[in-house]
Amino acid sequence: MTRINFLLLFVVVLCAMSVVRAQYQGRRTFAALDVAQQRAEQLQMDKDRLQVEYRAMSAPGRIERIARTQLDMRPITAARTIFVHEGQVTLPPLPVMPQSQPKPASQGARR
Amino acid sequence: MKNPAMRAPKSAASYGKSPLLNVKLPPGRAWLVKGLLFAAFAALGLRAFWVQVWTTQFYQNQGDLRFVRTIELPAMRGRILDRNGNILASSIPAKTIWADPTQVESGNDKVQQLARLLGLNAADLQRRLDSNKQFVYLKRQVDIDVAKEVKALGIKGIYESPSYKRYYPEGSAAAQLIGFSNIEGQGQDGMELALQARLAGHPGVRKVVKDRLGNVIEDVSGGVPPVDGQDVRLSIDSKIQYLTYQALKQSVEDNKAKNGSAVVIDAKTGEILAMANYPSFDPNTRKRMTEADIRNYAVTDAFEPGSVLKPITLSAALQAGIITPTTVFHTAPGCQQFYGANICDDSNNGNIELPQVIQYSSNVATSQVVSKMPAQVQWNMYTAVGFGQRPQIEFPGATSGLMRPMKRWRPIDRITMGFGYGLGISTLQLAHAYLIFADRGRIFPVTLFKHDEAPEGVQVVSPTVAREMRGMLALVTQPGGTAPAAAVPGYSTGGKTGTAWIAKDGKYDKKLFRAQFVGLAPIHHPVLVMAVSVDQPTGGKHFGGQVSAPVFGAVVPQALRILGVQPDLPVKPDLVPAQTAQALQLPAGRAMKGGA
Repeated sequence: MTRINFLLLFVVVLCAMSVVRAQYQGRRTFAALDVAQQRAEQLQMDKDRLQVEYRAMSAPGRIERIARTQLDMRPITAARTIFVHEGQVTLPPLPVMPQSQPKPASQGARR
Repeated sequence: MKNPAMRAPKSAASYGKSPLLNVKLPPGRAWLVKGLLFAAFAALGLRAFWVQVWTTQFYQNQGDLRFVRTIELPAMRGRILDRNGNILASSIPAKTIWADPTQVESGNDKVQQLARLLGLNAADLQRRLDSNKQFVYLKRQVDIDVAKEVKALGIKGIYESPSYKRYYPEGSAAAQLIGFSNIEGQGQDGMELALQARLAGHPGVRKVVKDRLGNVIEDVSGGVPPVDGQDVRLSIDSKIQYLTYQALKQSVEDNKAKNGSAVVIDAKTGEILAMANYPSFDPNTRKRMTEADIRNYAVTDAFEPGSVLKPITLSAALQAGIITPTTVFHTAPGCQQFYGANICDDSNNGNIELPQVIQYSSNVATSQVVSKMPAQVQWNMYTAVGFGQRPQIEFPGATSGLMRPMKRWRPIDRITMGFGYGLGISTLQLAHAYLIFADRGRIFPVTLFKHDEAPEGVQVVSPTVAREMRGMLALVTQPGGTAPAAAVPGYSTGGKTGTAWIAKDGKYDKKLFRAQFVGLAPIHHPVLVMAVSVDQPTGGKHFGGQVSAPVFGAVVPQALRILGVQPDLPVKPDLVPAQTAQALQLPAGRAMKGGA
């Protein structure tokens, strides 16, 4: 009888230790989850911020200013536009770009 | 040593050899001890019941006060997007920098650097840090990058907390339309104010248990999740908006005008594609912003439209069969008496047909038409196109315009209203009214939201009348008309100019003008309707054809191209010829130089 009592006591102590350990583990896991969720929120906010920055970079006013001043571009006119219709199979020919000439091996070194 | 007195009787149970254990105690004493023990256990039981059941809430609350923390969860304000999903207004994370002056060490050299980073006056900042309070805002809505630098200074007693900042990528181009919100995230003007309920969302709270390190270790029930504000998609096209704003700004500045407004409407749906005003302000900084800058003149201000109203009046007469496109009007010598008032044209136009009435903008001929027209016909037309009624748009302060009830019209009122005096409309109402010429005589309610389906219109004039009127309006932008500046290469256009005197101190000031133009393009199958109104140009030009028509001429070709509308007029191609291999064969030395 005494032996059984000791065995049961041991089991109770073991269960109690397990409960404490499980609770501790649960709280640690929850804290980690919370940190991960905060990180996810932070990343979402960063994404929103980057989207706004991207939009600010591509705002029509900025694009036009750069096109006019830095790239020396002109506004598009109807006379300089080719309209392509849906279903149109023959596209206007693309301009032929200059081909870079392969350099001879002996001239590889730049002077 | 053995004690014979302690020897137990053989018959009794033997408890030991000690005589003390064999002492016979009075039975009452045992019962007393038992009773006391029972009472003690009963008291414990009652106390447990009291604590665990009867007053459990009190102890629960006391426990929560010591461990449970409530975290505020702010709701993200919704974004305002244009019809293509481009951001027009969005909230971005920022920081609020605050201080606990009781912790800040006085005379800190880093305070100077802090003031520089936050853009504050160093002396003023030091004064605030010297106060006895435990909480002082230093600056709100500080950029994240700046906040990082502030944190890097490591000044004791300086803290930061998260917040949001509203950002408007379009800047001043759509400032009055989009409006702005205050530092608390409350819409103050424009769509930010009109859509406050949808954009704002609802903040939430979270109840948590934190450990001594500040980590959240458990969620406690009773929290409310935050509901973020909804994104709102407008009908505005940000590119057309920018083009409109730029062209309007140019015109207002070139003509030294007081202000200007312009509206572009999709002719097939009534969606507003652009609504611009000048002067304007930058909603991101709102520095040097005045009352005049905030005003959305296109919607909130009513004015006497002048000659731009003639096509509306004449289409009513055409629809009623009072006149036909070939009716001849005798306008010589250029002035005519109507109900005691002398109505004049700019010049003697002689005998002209209806198309020339529009082309030359004849007041005399229009007055002749109105004098033959029943007042009810005129009233029905004006009310059908929305005059005197508030536009059905969600915009704060949208004016209904001014139009007297028909019963109070005097005969001369009808005549002057026929060519745009004696009633008031906004630029938006003006553009909206011209929709009847665009889509087979139908009109749609204007909207600032993108439609998923084309709305059902209301037939105001017959498709024939609408087509005939478009033919007449096309003459205005052709050589000989009043607005050749509204002609654009590649696209047919049509419209009507208006140069109205401005009433001042009970009479018209013949030196103050409002220059207007309303146009459609392409005129035979309109896609766009655009109205431009410039108030008090003083730069030497004041006619609608000189001041407002160029705005139309600058915006429309670009807007049509953006919308993918093919030119309906022949254009001489000006494309860069396809580069051929031969054309690109440059001398070797030059090619090397170019590549180096």
